[in-house]
Amino acid sequence: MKTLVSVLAILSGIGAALADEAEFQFRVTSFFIPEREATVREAFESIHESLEVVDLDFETAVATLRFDPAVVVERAGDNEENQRALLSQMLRGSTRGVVDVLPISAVPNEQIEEVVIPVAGLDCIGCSYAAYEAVRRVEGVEYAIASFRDGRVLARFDREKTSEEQLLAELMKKRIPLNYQIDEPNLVPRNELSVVRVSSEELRAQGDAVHAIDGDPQTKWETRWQGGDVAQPPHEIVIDLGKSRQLTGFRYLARQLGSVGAFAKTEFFISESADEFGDEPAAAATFIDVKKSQTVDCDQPVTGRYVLIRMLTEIEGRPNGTAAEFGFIERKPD
Amino acid sequence: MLVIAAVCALSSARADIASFLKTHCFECHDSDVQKGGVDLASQLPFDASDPNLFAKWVRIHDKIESGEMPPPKKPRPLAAARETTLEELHDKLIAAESAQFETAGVRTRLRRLTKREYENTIRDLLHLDGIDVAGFLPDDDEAHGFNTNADALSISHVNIAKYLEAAEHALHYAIATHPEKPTVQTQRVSMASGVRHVFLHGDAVLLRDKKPDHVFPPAGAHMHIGEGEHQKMGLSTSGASMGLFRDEDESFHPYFDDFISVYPGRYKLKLSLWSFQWDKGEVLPSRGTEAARLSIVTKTGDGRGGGHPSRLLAYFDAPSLESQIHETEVWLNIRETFGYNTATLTKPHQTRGPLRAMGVSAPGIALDWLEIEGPFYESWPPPSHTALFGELPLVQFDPNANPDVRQPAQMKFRKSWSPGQNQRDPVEGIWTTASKNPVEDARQLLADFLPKAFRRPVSAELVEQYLGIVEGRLGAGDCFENAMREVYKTALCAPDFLFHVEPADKLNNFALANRLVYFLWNSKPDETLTKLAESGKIREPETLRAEVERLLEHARAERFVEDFPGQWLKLRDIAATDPDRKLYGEFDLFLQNSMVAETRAFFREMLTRDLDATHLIDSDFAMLNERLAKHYGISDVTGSTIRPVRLEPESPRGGVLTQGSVLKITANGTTTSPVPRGAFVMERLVGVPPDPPPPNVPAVEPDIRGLTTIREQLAKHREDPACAGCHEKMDPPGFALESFDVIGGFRENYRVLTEDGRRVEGPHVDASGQLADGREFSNVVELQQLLAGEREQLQRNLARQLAVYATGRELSFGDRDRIEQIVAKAEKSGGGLRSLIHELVQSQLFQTR
Repeated sequence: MKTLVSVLAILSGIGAALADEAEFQFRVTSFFIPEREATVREAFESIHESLEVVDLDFETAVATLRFDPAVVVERAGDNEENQRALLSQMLRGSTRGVVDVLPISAVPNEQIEEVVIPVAGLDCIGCSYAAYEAVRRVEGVEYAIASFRDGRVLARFDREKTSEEQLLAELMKKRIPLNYQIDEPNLVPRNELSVVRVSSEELRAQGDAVHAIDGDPQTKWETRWQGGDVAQPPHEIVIDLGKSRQLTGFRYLARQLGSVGAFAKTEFFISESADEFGDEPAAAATFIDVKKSQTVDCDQPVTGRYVLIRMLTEIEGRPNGTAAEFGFIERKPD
Repeated sequence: MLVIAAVCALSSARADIASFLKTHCFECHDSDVQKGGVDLASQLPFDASDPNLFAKWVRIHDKIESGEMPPPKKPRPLAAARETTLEELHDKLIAAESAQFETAGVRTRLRRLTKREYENTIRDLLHLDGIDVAGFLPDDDEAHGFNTNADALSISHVNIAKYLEAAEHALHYAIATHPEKPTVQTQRVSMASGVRHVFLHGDAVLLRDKKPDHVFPPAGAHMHIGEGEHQKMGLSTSGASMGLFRDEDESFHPYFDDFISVYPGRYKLKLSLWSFQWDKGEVLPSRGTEAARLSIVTKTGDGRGGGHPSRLLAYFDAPSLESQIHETEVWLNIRETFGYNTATLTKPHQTRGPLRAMGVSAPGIALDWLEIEGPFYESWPPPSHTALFGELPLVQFDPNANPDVRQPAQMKFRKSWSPGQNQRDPVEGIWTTASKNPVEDARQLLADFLPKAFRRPVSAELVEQYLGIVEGRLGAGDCFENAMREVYKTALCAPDFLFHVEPADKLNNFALANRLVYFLWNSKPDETLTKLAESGKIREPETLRAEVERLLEHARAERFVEDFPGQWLKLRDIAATDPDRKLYGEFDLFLQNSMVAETRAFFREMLTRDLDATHLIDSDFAMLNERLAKHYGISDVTGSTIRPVRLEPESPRGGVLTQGSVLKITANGTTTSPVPRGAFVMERLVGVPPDPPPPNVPAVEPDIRGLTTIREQLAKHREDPACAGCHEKMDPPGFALESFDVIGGFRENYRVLTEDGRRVEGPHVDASGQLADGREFSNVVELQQLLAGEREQLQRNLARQLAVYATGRELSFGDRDRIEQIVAKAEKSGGGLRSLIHELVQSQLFQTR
């Protein structure tokens, strides 16, 4: 892997002291928000007084350094990889393993995939670093940034080595809440929705039913599980659409942290009455364990003011039911 | 072993005793009736060689003398007959006892150093002020209330093995193994790394300029993620202060893991603290003075796990939003750091909610930083080294130049797993003490060391015996340091070191000096005392008096203040029970530590002001801090420092009797019972110990449902005549102390738990009672007045407790007169604690083995 991009050996005119200096480029770790630039720069400069940071590019996390290997990484000899390894060792040693230099990516551009994952959390440098590290350490990830202020983790990875699902799994393993939304045209406005009734809700754990329609993916409706009396499926919730509407489909957003209670087999009914929904669902689906919004489209548009959602099974067969959000797609006049 | 040789057949004089017993006692205590299981009519030989028989005769004497027998309702004996009988009995008992001691030659049997005496002796001998060697040794037993008693100080192969380990450890600490004094390092550490796991959940917040830190903001609807990642981003090095909302619990014992001691020695400690009121993200002025506790934590194993043993260092006040800097000095052993606790804050988990710190309104304590500077050595090599090697030089050991010499067996320092940033100074090579003339140097070193270690002059022959060990080791190829290590280890495990070596009968000068200094310093004589013993001036009463004063004024007298009440009043049992959390949610470690501090401070005050023993029952002052004052319902006391506080006349506090420590120690954590409390008061404070309970009689257990009061249960218990005799004496003080719950809080009603676990008020407390002599009291204040009126008995008891502790033996029948003399002499100076100590030390009782 070539790390030496240009050897600017100045053979004349400037002086012997600069004769062996050269510019080197490396991928640098822990540069996950622009505000880290000063700290990363300082880490490099603390290695040796003669080492110069020519450039730190946040968009690529590439550091361009100028130094004389015979001075800065003398013990590494002439081998470029040994020089990088020694520089890496020195940097990690002085920064508790935070700042490191890696070889420039050799993965062809067409093999690189970029993904942006919405996340929710504290606008805290430690938390952002935790999210960054969860993704950055996955083999095949060539570049990553993370910021809870911006609410996103961005990664570029070698699609032959890893996948978006793998990155999501790593974030969830770290207990980082994702923050997907139901965000589509023709969504019935949330401020026109209300909960008519619910089979159970866990108020002691902030699992109020209203959280299923509040537009905040970080809150959720949870069926009752505390107090030794766990509510058993089917679980039901009836939602008032505010007026009679013609719907073309339904949306379900699972809880964004953890997976207990995620819906599997689910039926959607619609009616003009909150008490009578008949036996035939307007739509039915078996959801899977993903955090993105899941779609259930009706074969034909259906009409009514009230929607009954009935969860029949949970993804692992547990009795619990949870929903971060429900969405209702209204048919608009052409 | 106590051997009683004299068998005293009843002479004609016994006829008076026999006649008295027949006339006044046999009606109830003959072979047929045997009231209370006592039979005086069948053969009761006056055989002093049998301790049980001797004790029975002493008991008969005491019952008659106190007037308890014959009982008041029976015909009274003629005064003359009573006096004659008592005189006869007294003389007989004294004669029998004297004969017994003449045979045995000593009253105090050979006894070894207690664990604490051993540790203090090592510390003072080797100038290692805080070395922990007691931790190596098994716990001492207790006899007659104290572990200094020869009956309790057993020794076995286990002790010997542990003494060897302890001696090796002490020598490793003492002997210098590097040429220069270790560099004094100053390290400022944050609490952030120690509490980062609770910071993640919002039980702690990072503060900067008295406001929430914006780089690491308070946890809110979202918690922080990733302990390690926060640490790497500089959580504990950002310079911000750590504000904490919660007290410690079983799973939360924060400590500063950025520091771990790598050298034993003295360190200076500074910390900057302030208090605040947290209100959902805002920092407001605090509710008052808060306090944080620092403890010294010993890292064990690889240092990663919890459960490290710790010992209290001190409490420090955080009075307001303004940072307050505290300074102190401390000795640290290797692998130690500091534990931290916000002593005055809420119980754990009260700050948790869906919005974590951003949803909380709670008091908090902020620590800006803790600064540790050290180690400090007054000279190099340190005094511990010169105590063993004098002025011999430290040189580099060259294995190549000494191929046949075994190199020094020095302790290899291994830095355990720990993020501690401080490091040992690099040392090139092996450094050791050199001698050009090893045998002669060893002779001189031993001639200097052995008398100090053995606390008396040592003969040249004994020095030569020890020198033989050195020569043997040198001959076997050991270097000089190894050979000396071996001989010092031998000396520190020798009976001459481990035992109090005292001559029979009258103590010689050195034994007297030792008895005095182990009494008041718990350790060996210093140079001044040794010189007084050498010159014989120690025998002069005025010199002895001056020495008592000097010893009591020295910082080492705190060992006496810690050890004597610690044993006498069982303060070391303070943590033996954990109060029921549902019943006594207000209890915490700060309160418990304050209780012990109160009793020690009170004892120290008695010593300083020379207060008499009635102050054990009642006093017009108490030694309190804010925590205790609040617990006792006393206002206007601020901060964690214990200080004298004047009490209102009607206050039930004052004296040791109603101190939280005593009241907690005599309760079981859930309920109180008048029986153990009454027994404690009668035995320890009044000095009239109840007889042990008869076999096969179950204890009276309080009804925790609150349906029956303990008084009702005991009334039923006393219907049994076999129980009534003792309980009439023992229970009354306990009844009065029913006014105090298991943690020493005053109560008018019992606390009880309902079936569903709720705490409610139970039956009203009846604290009235009647002493065995018929005097009545209606509450604890009246009991205090009655007991405090028993001045002579209280003085006698205090003198007796001091004597048992100081001499290492139970007092005999004949010692009663000696105690009376000590008390009488002390009364001439007011009869205070200090006067009692002076007269005890001057007494024959103290100066005789």
